Amino acid sequence: MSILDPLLKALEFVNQLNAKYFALSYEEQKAMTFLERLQAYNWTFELVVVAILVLMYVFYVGGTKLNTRRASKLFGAINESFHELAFAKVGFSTKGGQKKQFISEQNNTWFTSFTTGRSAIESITVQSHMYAHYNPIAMLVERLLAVFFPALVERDLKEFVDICVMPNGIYASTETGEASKNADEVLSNFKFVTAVVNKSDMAKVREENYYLSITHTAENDKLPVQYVFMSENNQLNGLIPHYGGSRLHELLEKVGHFLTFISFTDLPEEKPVSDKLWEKAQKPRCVIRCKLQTNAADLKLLQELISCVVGMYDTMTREYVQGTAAPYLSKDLLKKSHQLRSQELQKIQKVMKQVERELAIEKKQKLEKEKRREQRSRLSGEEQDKLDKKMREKRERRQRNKQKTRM
Amino acid sequence: MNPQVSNLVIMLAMMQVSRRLDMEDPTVILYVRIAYVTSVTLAFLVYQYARSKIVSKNDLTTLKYVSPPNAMAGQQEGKLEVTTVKDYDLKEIDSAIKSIYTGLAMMGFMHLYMKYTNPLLMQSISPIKSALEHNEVKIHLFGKPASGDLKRPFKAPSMFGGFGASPEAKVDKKSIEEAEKAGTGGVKSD
Repeated sequence: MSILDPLLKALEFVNQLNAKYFALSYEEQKAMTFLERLQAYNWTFELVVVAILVLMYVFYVGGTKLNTRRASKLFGAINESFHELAFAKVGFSTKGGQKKQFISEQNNTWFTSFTTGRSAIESITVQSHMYAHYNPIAMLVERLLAVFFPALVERDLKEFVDICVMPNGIYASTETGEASKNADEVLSNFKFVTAVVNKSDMAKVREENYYLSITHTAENDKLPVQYVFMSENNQLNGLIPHYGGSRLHELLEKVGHFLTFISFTDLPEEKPVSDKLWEKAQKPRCVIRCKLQTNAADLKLLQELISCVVGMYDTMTREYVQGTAAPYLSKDLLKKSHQLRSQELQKIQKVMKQVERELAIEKKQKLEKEKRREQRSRLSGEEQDKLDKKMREKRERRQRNKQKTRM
Repeated sequence: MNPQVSNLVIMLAMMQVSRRLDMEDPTVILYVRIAYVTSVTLAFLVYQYARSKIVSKNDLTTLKYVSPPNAMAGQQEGKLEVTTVKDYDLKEIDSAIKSIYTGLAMMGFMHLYMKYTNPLLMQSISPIKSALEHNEVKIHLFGKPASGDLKRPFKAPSMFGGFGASPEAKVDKKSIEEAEKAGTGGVKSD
């Protein structure tokens, strides 16, 4: 019995469907009219194939529409909160002047929205990934693979929402008020990493995000029991509760079932492999990552969370610009953060140098080999034999010396 | 007795039993099938009960340790694991449940496709034995304290005591701090 037996049986069954038709001789088929030939042929296989194609089309249309409907709910709620937070530009505009709440990519599985134009905030980018509902077979295979080979599962397979809030270091007290001028100076104070992370996602987020993989994990009474702090320095643990206050504490308790983490950071998500990338990838921002939710109550909570983070940046920026209150981050803390960055940069440079050294050695060896080959090709047959003999003796001598030292 | 040694003893005993049975007799095959399915079902129920206990306890105490490097995956340094007692327990129990599925698939192939009955008889005790000897079952069903051999992270069982055992997870403060600052996250594979 072979493994392919079931397949062979299925093929035989399909062939048997039209055994009678194929048994007809050429003359018999010629004698039949077109309609008679159509009637004599068994169309079961073709009908099944057409039914499968129709089903695939229905799933495709249904799946893409389902994702769009969910995205409309999600981005509708988020964009509404952007309007409430007084952002000047929310969503996208097409060439024809039409407003778009979000843009979708890759068969409606990736969705993005954007807002800009506000005091203290340069922009907010919202990105969401949804399951490929249009292809249920692929979804099923991916789930099965995830059960038996979890290492093969990419993070992007899950449904999530990423909200990236970028500060600009500019503060304007009123709509007509003058904007502050020392933006770069203010932004230099946002170079630190501190996060509130859901306990059920601790290992995963450390693995996926470079900036969280250099932090300490600590439980704290200032947080609801389902969260931990992940900060590059334990003194930074107080920053989020300080600026978030009791409002954030209450909110964190309510969003525990879908919030993965809130992180203030300036370091990249992907580990930089060169010093140039290190310099380029540093951008102060706050990242809110959560599981995808589309029910009204959860979306309301998400709106509040975004507004809370924007409020935190408002307060921090105002403190630095107006100097009305002493900022939470002392000079000493910022110095420690700076030191950590220097150490990380040194680590990257060390690896870079090592790689360069290895490449140089490899190149040198290649050149020497090439040179030897060239020299050999210039020699006559007798001289080549002499050279080979000399080399062989050299190798043997070296081997003998090695054995002597071992003994 | 060490569970792995007792497994070996049971295996040898079952081999002797299987030699005395007529594996061609449909009645014997039926009884062997019933014994295997009963054992697997009982093991599954024990694990599920322990699982429900873990979920209902919802112990969110943080657990940090450095797991030993996986030489097969080309790792040279241990990896920091930050989890909760609940998630650790669920991971352990889920891997035990998964091993039941793997065993079922293998036995299904051996017995239904290859028509061997001997392996079915050999495996008719080990699923329930493994379930009752599982650390999570000992903690959550038999109420044993999570200390000593049952302290998380669990030690990998070894057949010959300390000799030949796989390296243990590190739980000392220094190793954890070093691993925490290693910055090994965010490495994207091409």
